This record gives sequence, C-alpha cells and structure tokens, in this order.
Amino acid sequence: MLRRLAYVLTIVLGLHTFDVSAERFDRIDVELLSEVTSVQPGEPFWIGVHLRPDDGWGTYWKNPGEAGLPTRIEWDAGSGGHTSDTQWPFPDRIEAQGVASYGYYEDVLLLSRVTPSEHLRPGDELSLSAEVSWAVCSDICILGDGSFQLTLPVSGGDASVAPQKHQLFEDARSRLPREPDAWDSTFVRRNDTIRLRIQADGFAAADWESAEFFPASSRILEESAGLRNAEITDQGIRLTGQISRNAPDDLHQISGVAVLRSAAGGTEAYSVRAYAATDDTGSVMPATTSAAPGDYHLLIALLMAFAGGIILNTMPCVFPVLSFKAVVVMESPERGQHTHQMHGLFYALGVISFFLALGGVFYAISAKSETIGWGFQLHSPWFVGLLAYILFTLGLSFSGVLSFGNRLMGVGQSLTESGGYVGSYFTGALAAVVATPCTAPFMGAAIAYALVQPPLHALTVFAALGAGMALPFVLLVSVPGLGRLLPKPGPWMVVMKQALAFPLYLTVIWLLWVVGQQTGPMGMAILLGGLLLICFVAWLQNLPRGQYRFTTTLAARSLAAVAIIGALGLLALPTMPPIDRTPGAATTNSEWQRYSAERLERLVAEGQPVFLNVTADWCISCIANERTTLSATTVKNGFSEAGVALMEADWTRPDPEITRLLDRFNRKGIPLYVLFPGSGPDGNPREPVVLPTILTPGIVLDALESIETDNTNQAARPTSP
Amino acid sequence: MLLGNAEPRNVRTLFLALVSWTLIWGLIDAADAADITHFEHPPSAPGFDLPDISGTQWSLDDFGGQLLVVNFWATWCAPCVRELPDLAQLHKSTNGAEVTVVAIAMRQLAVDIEEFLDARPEMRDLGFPLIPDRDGQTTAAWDVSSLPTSFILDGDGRIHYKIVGDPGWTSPELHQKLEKVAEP
Repeated sequence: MLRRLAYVLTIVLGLHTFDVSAERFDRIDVELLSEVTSVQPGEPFWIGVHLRPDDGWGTYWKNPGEAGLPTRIEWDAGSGGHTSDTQWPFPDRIEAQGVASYGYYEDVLLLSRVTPSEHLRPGDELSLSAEVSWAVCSDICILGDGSFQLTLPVSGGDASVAPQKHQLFEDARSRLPREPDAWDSTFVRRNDTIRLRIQADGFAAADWESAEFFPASSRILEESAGLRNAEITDQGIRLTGQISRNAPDDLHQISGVAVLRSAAGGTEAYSVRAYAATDDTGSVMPATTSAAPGDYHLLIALLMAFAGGIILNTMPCVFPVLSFKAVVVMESPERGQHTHQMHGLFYALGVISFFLALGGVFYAISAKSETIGWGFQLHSPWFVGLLAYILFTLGLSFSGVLSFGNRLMGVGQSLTESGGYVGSYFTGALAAVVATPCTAPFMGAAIAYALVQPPLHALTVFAALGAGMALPFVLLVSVPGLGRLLPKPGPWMVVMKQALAFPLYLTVIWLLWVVGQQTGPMGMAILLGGLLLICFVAWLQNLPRGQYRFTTTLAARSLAAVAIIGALGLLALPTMPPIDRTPGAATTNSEWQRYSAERLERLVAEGQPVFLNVTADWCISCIANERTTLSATTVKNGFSEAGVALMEADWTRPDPEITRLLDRFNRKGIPLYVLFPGSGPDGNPREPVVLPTILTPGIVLDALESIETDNTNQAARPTSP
Repeated sequence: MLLGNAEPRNVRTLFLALVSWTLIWGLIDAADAADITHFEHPPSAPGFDLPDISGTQWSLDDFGGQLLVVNFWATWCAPCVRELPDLAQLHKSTNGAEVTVVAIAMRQLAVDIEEFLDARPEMRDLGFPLIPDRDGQTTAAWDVSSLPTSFILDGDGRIHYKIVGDPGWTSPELHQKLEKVAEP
C-alpha cells in the first residue's frame, strides 16, 4: 500500500517538473521516464521504460528462456533526435516447476540512449514516445501494451538531471553488460554438452564466487540446465552446460551475457561473443563446408568476396572513374613499367584500405546491434547526399568545368610527380566509396560469413573484396600486353573524359531519387541546392583570371569556401524527416503487399505460396531485378497462374523487423528473394526456397514451375482415408 | 524447552491454533493459485471454429454431449505449459466422468506450436487438439485476458466454471466439480 502511495506521489510530484507518462495496468505499473528534466542540443541522455510488476510477478528479458515473452519497445524521438536500441539490464534466472525463464522478478528499467538533434533551439520541445508490449506472469500470464509520451524542454544551459530519477538510472546502468577488455571467448560442443571458455589473462578470480551465462537468443542451451557450472581461475572462466536439442548443427558463434557474482552479493555483467573451437585450448574451429548460407569455408568466402569485388568494377558509378584513370596512367608519356605497377599498387591499397575501414566499422557495429545490415551507410540521407556531391563534382571535373590539379581525384596531369601515387591511392579509395551502394552477386553471402567469424577472418574477407575490386585495374596497368590493347593517346581522350561524365550524372540523379524516397521532396530540394552551390564554386573557378581583379582576390576563394561549407551544412539540416512509404513503392505495383512478419507467417500457415522481395531504393541490383524480371509480363503471369502472393520488404531505411528477416536467412545484405512454396502433402508449410541475387525471368519461372509440379503431384495423389 | 512449563490444555490450544492458521492460509494459497468462478445459471459458450495444427477443423458442435474443458494457453506462457501434462491426464482418464480437452493458443500460429513441440517432444502425445487462434478473435469472444484460462462446459455447450490459473486438474476437488457438471 505504502509502495503504491509512494509511486502515485512520485508521479504527481514529477508532473510539476516535467511531463511523465505512467499508467497502471493489470498487475503492473508502466512508466516512461527521462533522467533529465531538460535537454541540450546534441547532448545524449537516457530514457527508460520502468516496469513495476506487483509482488510475485515478473517480466521477461530479450531472450525469455524456455517460456516467456520478451518485452518489446519501439522508441521514437521523431525528427528531434535519435534513440538507441533497447539496452537490457542483465536478467535473473526464474525457475518454476522445471521451466527456466530469464527475466526480472522485480521492477526493471529498460533503457535507451537519446541523442537530441544539434538543430534544436532553446525554447523548442523534444517529444519522445515508446510503444511498449509485455507479458507479466506469476501463476498466470497477462499480456499488456501501451503508448507512452514524454515531452522535454530544450534548454540553452546544462541539461538538468532529475534527482529523484538519477539513482534509478544509475542502478539500471550498473546492470548493463560491459564490453570486456581483451577477453577471448570460445566454445566447444561435444554431443549434448557445451563448454564455454572465456580467457581473460590477469582475471581476479578471488573476487568472484560464481558465474552464469545467459544466451542472447533461444535454442542454444537447455535452459533448465543452464550454463552456470563455473570454474573460475586467474586465466578466466569455464562454464559447462547442456546444448539445446534444437541448436543448429552449424553453430559457429554464440553471444550473450556472462554474469559474475561475488560472495558479498556484488555482481558484474559482461557481453560475451564466443566462437566455435575444436578443443578446450581455444583454437578456433574451421568452418564446415556445408552449403548452408553463411556457412562457407573461409576459402569459399574469400573467393566469393573476390569475385564480387571484380564485378563491382562494372557498376555505372565506378566504371567511368576506373576506365579513365587506367587510360591516363597507361598513356602518359615517360612512363616505365615500374611506375605503372606502382600506380596499380597504390590504387589497390586505396581500395583495400577503404574496404577494411568500412568492414571494420560494420563488424564493430554489428557486434553490438542486431538491427544492422550491409548497406547500413546508405540508410543515412546525409551519406547518400555526400555520395551525390562527390559524384557530381567528379562529373563536373570530367566535363572540364572544375579542376583539381593533381590532388585527390588525380585524373592525370602530373602523375610523374610524387603526388601521382597519392592520386592513385585516392582514386582507389574513391572508387571503393562510390561502389558501396552496389552489393554485387556473391558479396552478400561472403559478408554474412565474415560477420560471424573472429575479427581477423572477417577483415580478410573484406580485404579480399577490395583485392577483387582492384584486380582489373592492377592487371591493366601492370601487364604490358594488356596495356597495349588501349588506343594511342590523342584528342579522343578529352572527348571520352567528357562522355564518361554522363554516367556519373546519371548516378547523381539516382542518388537524388534515393534521398527523395528517404526524406520526401524537401530533402531532394535541399540536395539540389547543395549541387547548385557546387556549380557556383565551378563558376567562380572559371571566371577569367586577370580580367577581373576580383577573381584573384581572397573574396572569390572565401565565397567558394562558404559555398562548399554551405553545401555540406545543407546535408546536416534537420529537414530529412522520414516519410511513410507506400507498399510496393520500389516496384510501383499495387499487387505487392507490404511485409510484416505476422502477415507472412499467417499466409505461410494458411498454405498460401508467397514470393518475398527484400529491396531498397539504394540497391542497384534490386532495382535492376525489379525492372528486368519482376516486372516482366511472363513473370507476372507466372505469379498469377501459380496463385502466389507477392510481398515486399522495403529496407530503404533501417527497419529492425526486416533485419531480423535477413538474419533468418543468414543474410546481412540485399537483394534477397525467397519463395515460400505453400503447403506440402502433409498440410504443413514446405521449406522456403532462396533464389539467387541476380534474377532472370527463367530463374523465377523455374522456381514457380517446381511448386506447381509439386502441387499437381499432390492433387493427383490418392487422398488418405 | 519452549513449552516445558505450559499446561497441557494450553499446548492443545496452541496446536489447534497452529493447525487452523495453516489450514486458513492453505485455503487462501489455493484460492490464489486459481480463480474459479461458478455459474449458477450456466450461459451458452461463444463457440469456436478453427483448424488445429494438423489442419483438422474443430467447432464446439463437434463436442456435443461431452463434458468439455476448453483451455486457453500460449507456448510462451510458463504456467500454461506446466498444466498441459495434467490436462492430458484428465483427457485420458477414464475414472469418473469422461472429459474431453481442447487447447486454444491465444494469438499464435501453427508454426509457433510446431516449434514448441520440436523443443518439447514429450508434449507431442498430449492426446487433445492444439488449436492456434491466430488473430485472437476466438480468445476475445470468450473474454479471456489472462493465461491460462479454462472453461468447464456441459454436454449442451453451457459454461459451468471459468477457471483462471491452474486449479490442479488431477485434484479430487476438481473431479467433484466435473462430476457435478456431468450429472444429468
């Protein structure tokens, strides 16, 4: 009673200082809280959903264990900022009559880190919301859901912490798993047993009495046995348990949280990502050669990445840059074979270093977030805008209206100078940057493989991708016979350079369209404004020198600098609000229904054949497949005759539900095409068929024919009594 | 010795008090475990018309004339999963009144139940139909908001008891209730 009274008082008192959303539901109080009472632009702070079940009742962790339903929260800060994924304090183990669950028997604060936009101004308000659904259980379970809103004023001074909430947030943060320093984790699976080995040199074993591991996903452990039979030494921790009978055979990696408990009742939790090992010494197990996606042998993954890299050279944004660079390097006078090879080497270094950097960032983020996939960088309108600027500037340079001397783009004037190699390096990096929108065939599977490997293996795959991309250029400039195939230098080079500008402009139009899809007409107009500023810089540069003193003055340069800063600043404007996309926008066809996991499951459960297209506006391969295959009359008729429902998952902007879908098929990138063939003879849904990333009408029609054949056989089969 | 100097009569009083206390709290505990509502004037059940996980269509009319337990559950609901073996025993039991059980899974798909059975193969031979209520409409029609919730129906499809929680399906008290409902 006192507890309830105190709670009500807290809410009432809280209302005097800031807007709080709280509600009493059946057996649980739920409240959206902020640690601060006012926010500062760009200064991150914490919010949380406080779940306070009645005594004897509990809620569940992200992996609920043998039974339970995880609490789900959709955080939203609108255009006023960015919210992180839910940060889960480590759970307790709840056992009742042989059923083991992971959850919270007492109150819990599930956290999100909010970064308010830099563009907020004092006097503005930041509106936050959380859509929450939960199961609260004791002897019975009750489902609940609710929407909670919170509005915080933006202040010019320091963000003020709400004292009555601060301790609550401190406590919740102290239960968040930490990233351990230099822990090396492996696991060994022997029949039904799993042994997790966490090697941490200099580990203070005396401080800890027990340890337990909570897997981040279900179907890894037999939760009733758990993974808590711990051996703690100064070298680290060994935990032994029982593997789930439903664990996949090709389990390469497990992640979760290791919780250490001291005799005095202290606890610490650490994130653990362990890789399959052959033995207890921790040597990493070579991946099997099973053909399942994401389960390729390292060598196969490297070959796939390498082949994917080679194919990237043919992409419309990359080809002009490379072809012209190759001609310039080969045809410049006073070149020796050695110089050509050095250009090739520096170019390759540029490509590989960019892919290593991008791969490293992606690997690091994907280790912490389950809702990221390859192409993540194109989810940001500002990144797409920046790509458009780079390609447009490059196009203007090719058209001859903007020049950079021998810097950066290094299109050729002074390659004998020492800066020429640097130019080749940056050409490589630039080619890799502009290639990022294109997930060539094979790359997706190779990247998916890389992300579940130890860092060294993962980076090797990304390096192979870069090496593949660099290969054609390196061969062209290094092998004498190939270089001679190129025509002799002459005025045609100027014409070719100008002509190659047009594929670049075409790519800019496509990127403008992508930003338009992501942000609406306003974002597109802003990007056009930025491109206009680049034209302005070109005009300033082309004013006849000497004729106007003005052009040689500081003013012209200052104006150019202001224009460039302005163009970059435009990308950071808070005018890129996401817009609701209509289903099937990428295919512009109303026959395509929008993807939802529930809808897909329902159709599959009903025995309905479904063709699923996971696409995005920034994915060239996806658009090419949609234009050449999925829109083809023969394919449309094929879908119609086979009675296939068409479903499209649009990943133009980040969407955790779609990322989970990709995970289900061991993919980290798109396109992804899956045909769910409907029910089998036993009435149960048949296994889905994953189609190749590059489609032809023949591939789709063959797949459709196979399900029709099966259905015919099924119909012809005598029915059982 | 704590009671060394006490009169025998006082000891007996204390003993009786302790027994009464235990019994009272025992009863309260039992009441806590399941919330049982008895309908003096049994209303007609809302019915259902759904396929089970093998595709067989079931409706309330299929169970006409039988003493029926309609159990609402979910694969994620630990208390529901715990009572399934007892319900299976009740369903198979031939002692006393013959009871048929159907289990309707609230807002779940057949694949959810299949995955659950893959993880717990011992539940495969429960012997009664496991019926997914995909959109939750049947669950809503029966006014179920907590899981597990069960209804005891007579042969005419009228609800005699609504039970929220696990009442102890194999207990003599429950069998008495079932026999009373089965009486013509």
